[in-house]
Amino acid sequence: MAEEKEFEPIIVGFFCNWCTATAADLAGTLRMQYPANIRPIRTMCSGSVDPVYVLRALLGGADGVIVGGCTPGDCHYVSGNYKARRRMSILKTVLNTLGLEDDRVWIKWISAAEGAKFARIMNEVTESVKKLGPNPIGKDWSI
Amino acid sequence: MDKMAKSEAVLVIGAGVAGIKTSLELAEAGHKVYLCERKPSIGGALIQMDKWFPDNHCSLCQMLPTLNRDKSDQFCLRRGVNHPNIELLYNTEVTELQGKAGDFKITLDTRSTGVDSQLCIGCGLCAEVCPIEMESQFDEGLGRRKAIDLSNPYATPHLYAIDWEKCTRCGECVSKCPTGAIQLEQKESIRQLQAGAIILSTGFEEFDPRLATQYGYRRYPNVITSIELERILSPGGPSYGELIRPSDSRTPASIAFLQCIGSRDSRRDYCSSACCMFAVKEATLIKQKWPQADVHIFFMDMRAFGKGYHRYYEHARDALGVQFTRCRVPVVKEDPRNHDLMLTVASEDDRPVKRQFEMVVLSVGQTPAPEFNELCQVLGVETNRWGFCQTRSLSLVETSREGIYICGSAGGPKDIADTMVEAGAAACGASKWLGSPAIRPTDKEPMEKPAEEPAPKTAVFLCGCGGEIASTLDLESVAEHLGKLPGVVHVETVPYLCRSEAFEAVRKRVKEHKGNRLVLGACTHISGQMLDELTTRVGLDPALVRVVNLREEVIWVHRDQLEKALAKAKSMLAMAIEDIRQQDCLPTSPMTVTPNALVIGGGVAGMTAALSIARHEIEVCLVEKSSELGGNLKDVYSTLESGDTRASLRDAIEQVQKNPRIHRHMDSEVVAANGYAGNFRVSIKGKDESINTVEAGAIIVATGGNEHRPTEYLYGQNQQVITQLELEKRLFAGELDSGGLRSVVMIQCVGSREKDRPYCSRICCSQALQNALKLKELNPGIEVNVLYRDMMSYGFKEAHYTRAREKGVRFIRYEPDRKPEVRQDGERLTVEMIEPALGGTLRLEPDLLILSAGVIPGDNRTLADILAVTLDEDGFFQEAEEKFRPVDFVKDGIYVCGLAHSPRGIEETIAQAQAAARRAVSLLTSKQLAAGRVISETVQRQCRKCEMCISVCPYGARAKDDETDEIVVREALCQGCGACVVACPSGAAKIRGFRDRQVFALIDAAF
Repeated sequence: MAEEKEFEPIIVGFFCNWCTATAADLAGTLRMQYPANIRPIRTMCSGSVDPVYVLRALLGGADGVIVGGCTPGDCHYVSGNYKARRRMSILKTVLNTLGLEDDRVWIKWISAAEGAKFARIMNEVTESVKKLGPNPIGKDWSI
Repeated sequence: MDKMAKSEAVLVIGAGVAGIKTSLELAEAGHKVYLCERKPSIGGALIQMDKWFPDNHCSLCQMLPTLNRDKSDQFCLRRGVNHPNIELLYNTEVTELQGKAGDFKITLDTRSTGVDSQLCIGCGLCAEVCPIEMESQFDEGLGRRKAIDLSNPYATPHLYAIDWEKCTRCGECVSKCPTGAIQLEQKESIRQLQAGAIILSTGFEEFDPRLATQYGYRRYPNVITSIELERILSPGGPSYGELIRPSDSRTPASIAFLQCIGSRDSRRDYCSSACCMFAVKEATLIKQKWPQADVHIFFMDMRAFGKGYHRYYEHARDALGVQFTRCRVPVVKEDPRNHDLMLTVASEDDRPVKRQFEMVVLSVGQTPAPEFNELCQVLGVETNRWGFCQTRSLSLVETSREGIYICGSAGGPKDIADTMVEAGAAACGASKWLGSPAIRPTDKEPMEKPAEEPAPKTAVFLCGCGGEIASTLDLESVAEHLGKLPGVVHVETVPYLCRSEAFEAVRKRVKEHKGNRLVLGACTHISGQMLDELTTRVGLDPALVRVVNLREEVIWVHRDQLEKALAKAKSMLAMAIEDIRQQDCLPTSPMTVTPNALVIGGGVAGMTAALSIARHEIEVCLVEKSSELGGNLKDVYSTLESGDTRASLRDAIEQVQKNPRIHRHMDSEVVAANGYAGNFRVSIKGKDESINTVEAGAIIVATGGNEHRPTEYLYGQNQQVITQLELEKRLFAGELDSGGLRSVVMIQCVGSREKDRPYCSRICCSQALQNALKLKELNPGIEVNVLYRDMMSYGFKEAHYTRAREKGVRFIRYEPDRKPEVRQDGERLTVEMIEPALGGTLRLEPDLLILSAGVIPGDNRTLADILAVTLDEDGFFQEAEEKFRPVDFVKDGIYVCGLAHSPRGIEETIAQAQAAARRAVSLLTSKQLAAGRVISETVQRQCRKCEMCISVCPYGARAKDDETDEIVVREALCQGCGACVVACPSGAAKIRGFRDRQVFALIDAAF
């Protein structure tokens, strides 16, 4: 029966071209298994992920969003990941006012060599969002 | 000589980090580069490591070109290097060399890997069925691999190779391979090619500690090498980055690093230069993640002599609590019950005590690769007594044979930062033998924007990957789903997309359906050169092609969730289709370049840079603030390793003066500058206060530094107290009556490695060794005492340190908190100090006291502000990246070398000036600079001119146009990071390929 089917969240991932997107590829080469709930989007830099993109994903129906970038200090574009970190922490404070749990937005540093870490984080974010349940406001809003 | 027809190609031997860097330097300038590598994959020792000192960052991608950047792949370099001018030759060695500089004829021998790279799809079925397990070289034997396997997991495309030694020819893989790519017979093929110059970059081999049996390596499981520890700490390593010891996979509570294993001993009396910092880095990484671990480093001298290294060392010691103990551990013994290790080490009061550690790390030194000697014989270049390549006097990169250059550890042990400088210098040297490049990377005309943009028509091709994808995903249902999406005109499944037959099929179909967009559902293989080839064949702008990785990002990672995997695949493809439907294809405007250079500073760095640039028929404007050329060289007579340097330096000055392309501005300084890479305008103020404005495409900062004027040890109060430079002058100019001297004392680190100046001045230990040896030569009876903290006789300088000790020079260590005390008692000068080794007070009465005063930066602040570049904490110029971009600034078109960058010796300064010159030449010989595909732009009607975008742009690619008052983008400088887009409060800054409507459409397609 449909009701008994486990909730399968959709999680949009914004992954920077230089580190996390490469790690995603490496996870594949190493056949690391992780849940297929992730919908990856390659961006040049985690610093180019506009908070509006994250909101668009959440308001469009995503149950969670994860931003992946280079480890601190390692940004290909000097300091984009620091900018991303600041923006996402500000965004989290706004999410609550929309009636969304701030845990739905993750930001993680996964370097190009960390295929295993990529798989682990994808597992963790999926499990975490599953526990939160479906996005309560998805598709009711738009920007 | 210049009239001779010279080959424009260059051969680079060894594709480690040095080889990759030097190849990119020359490829960027349009030369054809053959990059030949003995192994089946590139990257050398470097890609076994994740993080490097002195910042614990990776930053490998910083090596990629920033100008004309789309020519090379915009990906992590661990995946490989892809540039249209670089031809990679794997498994290849040079067997014969004929001809001469400018026209070498080279014979190469390529051994087959057993796997046809044209046919291999990288599915890995061969490795799955292979019955032979062996130690993985990549994981330093800590992990396992099969006899047919990937040589490293990062390389793209994934190319499998057979280890011929271990392969039993059982044929399991041959029958399993879906494409018939495997042949169990090793074949060799001979190839001949021509090159104008050769660059050797074969790197080093780590010392095999089995040769030093006293340490029990391979007898005791918990004795490992520093490189093995690197693999253990790597998140991609055998334990996924968990610190475990081999005997019981437990996290060791105590770890001892033993330094100088295979270095500084009687057989190898050189220092491996990098291992001290390497150990500090590994200790740092351990302490950051496992703060409770008890980490000890046992060393002789802590050689933290590079830029920023001393701070890094102090941080490890003082902030992280790594224990540093000065002693050479003679032997390692094991407790067989628990595999712990017993060491006899020095206690705090220098008595020998026994200590137990749970793991011992041997900091293995660098030795020449075993086949290096043979290669040097083939090439006819000389090696030194340790088997490294011999270089010419004053040069770090010229070998004994004209036209052949060396860079990196094959020329002597060194770290990445120094290797990168040499890679640039070698490219600079080699380019003098190369003909003008036939192909310029920017020659291709940019695609023109059609008068009216046609409606997007997307063709979609799904690769079955010989069943690998097709048997897992229901491609038919995928195709049916995609066919209904807007803009899609054709969907087709092909068995293998990575075949040239498939390229042709794709071209035909796209043409048939008048497609102008392409989406490929395939794998990582469709990237780099293969993707270039495919897009060229189909005739589409690469910006209008998207590859969705159905293999590495779907079927290989979601094995037991096929239903969800199918949904993900459909979403990913739909997202790509929507993304590309919104993609517009605007032409970019290439930037023109003013082909002149400006060099600031007329010392050795500036003169070398000016001469190197002028050799490429480029006009150079050389600005010197004083009335004569030579800078600090006026006071330098000799160097430790090159001997008397006066003649060659006089020669350099003469060459600069005679060179018609070098326009000297003496008694002048730069007072204003504006513009950007390729187009600077600089105002120079002359002696008579007149202002001259020059235009230049590139600027080199070579303003030098100064010897510190000591305020301590009675300097300036007592005539007997002088600096090393003052001594050198008296010694070599014959102004010193050395025969009349009985005793000389030298004090090292005067003002260096102190609270106010926490850096090592790098050159003073060499100066002290040189002057001490000279004194001993002139007067063997003289007593010379050198009071030091750590002798920085890195590399081959160590041999001079040994020689000085043999000649009777006494080296006595002092602690920074118990400095020597200098007093004047009437006529006599006395030096008193506590001698750590004996604990007693030592009293010396020298005739001369020599202070190693070190290097201080010049007044760099003014110039830094004028050029809008930054200074580091110590007042030297701050390069773009400490390791991989040692002569660049983040702002393109300005380069730095010599003491303006950091303290360094004359040979090192010359090499760095050559590297800086090479960067400038690459820029200046480009007729124009092409912008990348992903660049930012300003929508003027939305722009409120707040200039936020200008302040966040790291590259100076955004500026306010003085005439129109508009915010403009210098497209060739933009790296496409998107910082401006997010910063812009009014939505006026956009990134092509990532416009809001495009990203929104892409996001919406995810559901």
